[in-house]
Amino acid sequence: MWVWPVDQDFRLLAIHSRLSSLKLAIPVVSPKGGVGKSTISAMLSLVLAMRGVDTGLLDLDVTNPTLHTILGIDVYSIKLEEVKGVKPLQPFKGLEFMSVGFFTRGAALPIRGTSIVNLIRDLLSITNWNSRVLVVDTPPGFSDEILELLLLLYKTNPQIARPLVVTTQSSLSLISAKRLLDLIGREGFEVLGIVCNMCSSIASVQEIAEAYGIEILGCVPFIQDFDNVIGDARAMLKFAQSHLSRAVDKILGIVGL
Amino acid sequence: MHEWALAEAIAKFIEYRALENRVNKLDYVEIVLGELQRIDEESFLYAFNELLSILKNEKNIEVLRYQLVREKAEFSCNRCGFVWSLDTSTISADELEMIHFIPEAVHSIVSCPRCGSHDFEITRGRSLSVRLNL
Repeated sequence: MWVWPVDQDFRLLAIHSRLSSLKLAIPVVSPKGGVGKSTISAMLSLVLAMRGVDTGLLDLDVTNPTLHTILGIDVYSIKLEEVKGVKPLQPFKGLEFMSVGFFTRGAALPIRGTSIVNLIRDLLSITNWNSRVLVVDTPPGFSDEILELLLLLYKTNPQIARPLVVTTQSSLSLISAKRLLDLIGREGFEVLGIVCNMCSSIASVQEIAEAYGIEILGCVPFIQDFDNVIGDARAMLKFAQSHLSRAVDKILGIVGL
Repeated sequence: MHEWALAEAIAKFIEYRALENRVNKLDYVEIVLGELQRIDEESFLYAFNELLSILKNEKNIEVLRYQLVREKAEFSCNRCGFVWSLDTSTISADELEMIHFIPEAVHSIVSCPRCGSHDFEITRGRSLSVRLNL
């Protein structure tokens, strides 16, 4: 009997093995672009690492990765170490970082559908994480990248996947966040919480939090000179510590620290 | 090494399919090496043979025969329909290394020779695939 591994891609087992040591995976999600998913992902990872949690940070915005820029990492010159796979970069103590940007040298990657799925599976099947918590920055929307990530996490252990929803106070962002929360609930994942970015008041988010029974894990104010913070992880960490402390405390509780 | 990681993934797959089908001998395994990924055959075979030994000695799962098959890479342009093959002479060593790890990186490097579009499909010879004869 010939068996074609169409529905049992050999990479899935490798991904399962590589992700199964995680205690928690946090897809940072929002259907709207520009709400600050990458910034929140970077800040959250930096604070977690600073608080002693071995944290991985994955840039899943595969067609246009930017996390390396936010963290001040030069993907043009770095060659990742190979040890039975590829070791993520360790830019700071306690933080591992992986991005397709290391393999495209920061160029745009015009791919769609199956190619996105193939790329994500290749990347995750060779990445040798040594972290307990994985923060995943995702592109806007709810398409290939996020569906594939949730599929892979579901096949590994659905209990470890706890999406973090990011919104702003804008009515368009809030409507989108509600749609996303409906969908995540129907997919059977428990939401970690919601963070309001560029936020002056949590009143508008409070309504969503109550309606969906989720926690507000941060109200991150607008950063005046944001361009000056980009690339300066220490400045970002200093800013993030107070504004994301609820999110970090909740994560520490989940992973038992 | 990256080849080790790929060989390890295939060995896990063989083990999984053997256990799933309740067999401990697999008649034949065919491993297709897509040209685009440029797997180092010597490194891959070294790792794969090591892993097959472990599979046999520790799990009592044996592959009776296997074969590596090379597949040429082929691309098809979504814009103009042109079909073409890989030409490594136009790609730098650094770029080939990037494609080796993530074959989709070719989309940021190669474009359609006829219309110049980067919107194309990799129709053959992308990376590794496995066929099992249980």
